[in-house]
Amino acid sequence: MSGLILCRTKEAVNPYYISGMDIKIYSLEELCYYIYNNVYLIGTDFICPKLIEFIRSETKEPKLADRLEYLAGKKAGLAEMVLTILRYVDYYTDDEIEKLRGILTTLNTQNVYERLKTRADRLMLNECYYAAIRNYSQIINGKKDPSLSVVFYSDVCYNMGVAYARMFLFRQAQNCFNEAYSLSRHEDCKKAAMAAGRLAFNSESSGRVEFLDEQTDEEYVIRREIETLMDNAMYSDEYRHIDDIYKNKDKKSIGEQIEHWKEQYVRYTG
Amino acid sequence: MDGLILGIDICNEYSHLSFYDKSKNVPESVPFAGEMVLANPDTLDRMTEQPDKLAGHVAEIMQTAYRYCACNVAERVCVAIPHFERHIVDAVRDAFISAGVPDTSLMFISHEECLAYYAFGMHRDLWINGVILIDYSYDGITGYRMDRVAIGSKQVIAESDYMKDENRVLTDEFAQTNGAADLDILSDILAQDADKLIGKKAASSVYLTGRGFDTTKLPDTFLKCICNRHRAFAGQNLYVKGACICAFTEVNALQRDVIVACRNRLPSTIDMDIIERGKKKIFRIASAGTNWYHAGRSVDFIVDDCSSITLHIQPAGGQKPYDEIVDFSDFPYRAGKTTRINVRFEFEGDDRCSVTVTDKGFGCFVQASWKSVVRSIDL
Repeated sequence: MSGLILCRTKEAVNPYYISGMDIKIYSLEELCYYIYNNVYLIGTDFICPKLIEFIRSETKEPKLADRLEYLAGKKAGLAEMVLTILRYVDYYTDDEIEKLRGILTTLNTQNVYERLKTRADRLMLNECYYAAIRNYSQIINGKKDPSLSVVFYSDVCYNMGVAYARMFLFRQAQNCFNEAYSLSRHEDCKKAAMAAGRLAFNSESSGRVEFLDEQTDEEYVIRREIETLMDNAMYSDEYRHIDDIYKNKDKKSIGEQIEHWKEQYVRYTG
Repeated sequence: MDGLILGIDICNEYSHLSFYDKSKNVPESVPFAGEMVLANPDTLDRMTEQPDKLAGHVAEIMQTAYRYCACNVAERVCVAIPHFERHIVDAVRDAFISAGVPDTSLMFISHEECLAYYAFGMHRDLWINGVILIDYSYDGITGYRMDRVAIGSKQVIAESDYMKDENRVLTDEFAQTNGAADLDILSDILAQDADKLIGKKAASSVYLTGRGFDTTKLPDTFLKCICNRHRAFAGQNLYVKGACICAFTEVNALQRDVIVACRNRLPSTIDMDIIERGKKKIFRIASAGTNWYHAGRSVDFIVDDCSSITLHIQPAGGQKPYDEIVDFSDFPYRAGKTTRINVRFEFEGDDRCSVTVTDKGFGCFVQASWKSVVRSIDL
């Protein structure tokens, strides 16, 4: 049903900061929206004393704060606490809340490593690479779970490699892709490892791309693919935008671009 | 809280004070050093430009109230202001706040509202056929009629036959001579004015107020006209006592089924459609009979797949209800309930409401465009 939903609670003057995601929450409606769309990322530690204090003093909802405090005190499950918030705020309909309850129930039945991977995958989608790597590392460095397949662990290594690569840490990315390949023998992992190796070599040799020692046809193909990608990059909107800034030397645009990169960096490493 | 319930009438030249005597259940006038009125240090119009002077005057009134009643806490203060305009009310409000009266304890009403509270707070016999007021002050002669009628389940106090003669302005010389001579000259005019108000329909009571009637002798022709089949009352504390009754009524949440629909009160109820937990509901913005100065509000909403606001206007006088649509389709469309809008309802009088809708985005998830739509609605 379309229409207008009355906001009954106050907007915060001092927002609640979710550090892992670099997100500031100003209202209970935004909190509901965040929970609903990031349910895979949320653990019981999300409902922390700081959040409860934010609800109490900033949004002026002591009743909800008291309820959450009580639930946290009796070590209630994540689902119960999350649903308490969603039901308190008139933002999602009963049907929508029921749908989320289903997801939360599924999460409760998942293996701890599966939940960690789901959470890390969501962090990847939100470009929070460092936080994603932390979660993937917990799986890799944790006790091996025999109920989980080799493919699962390979995927974890591969995704971790992607996270490193997106932070331009190509050598670490290469190691992860190699590990993924050793587990699953999947061709994509091998190709990614070779590409990461080449890019690592590139960045370690002052930006010059030199492919002097191609030994296999496979490596040659990878090299050609990287070159094609680099050639095509010149036609992307992002490249053109940066090129324009460089040519025009417009201080405002340069400042904005640097600010954008800083924000990205904060999110990567948050 | 058991503090004072005060009525204060700040006219242009004089101020009156009254408190609600809870033991006797009536409003009582409070004297200022033996006088029933306190002369303003300057006219109220001019004092609105001199906040310190106005604050000093208000502080003196409040100190008199605290001293006289032996109580230093004001539970509710209802201030009557004759020229009920926003800049004047704002200035008076600031003066009361600086005198230590909490904003939440303050309310402001016009002289017409004071009459409604005073006259219809009297015994039924004194208002059953309506009341008439004639006010002869420095602004001229003002007259109008008020009737209490049943509309549906509500009782509506409605004002009619409003007339104002600004050519008969009261002068200082008049006040000094107690006006008797001038009233004699004006006798025929006053009688004609009274006849216009009374002639059409009999009333239970006629009230005379204002400095022009602050005399012991009224002209015979005029007296004959107002006393014929009516009970006539003359006094200077009608408004201040009306304000006091209004404060008492508000504090005790009395007369909830009575709508005061006179000048400076909203003639219509404004409702709007909202969604609550997935179901269609009605949200009341302002009720008919609310003083326009106090009716403004600002509310936030989450937009769920819509681009307009539907307001339902229901006149208290029983006229046909109608809808007004405020369209905000110029705002960026965003799916998934990620637009928060602020809707501000502002009144500058009892006949017009200004609705401002502003796009606030959705926190750090969706940047606000801060676009605004303003729509003026006639009530």
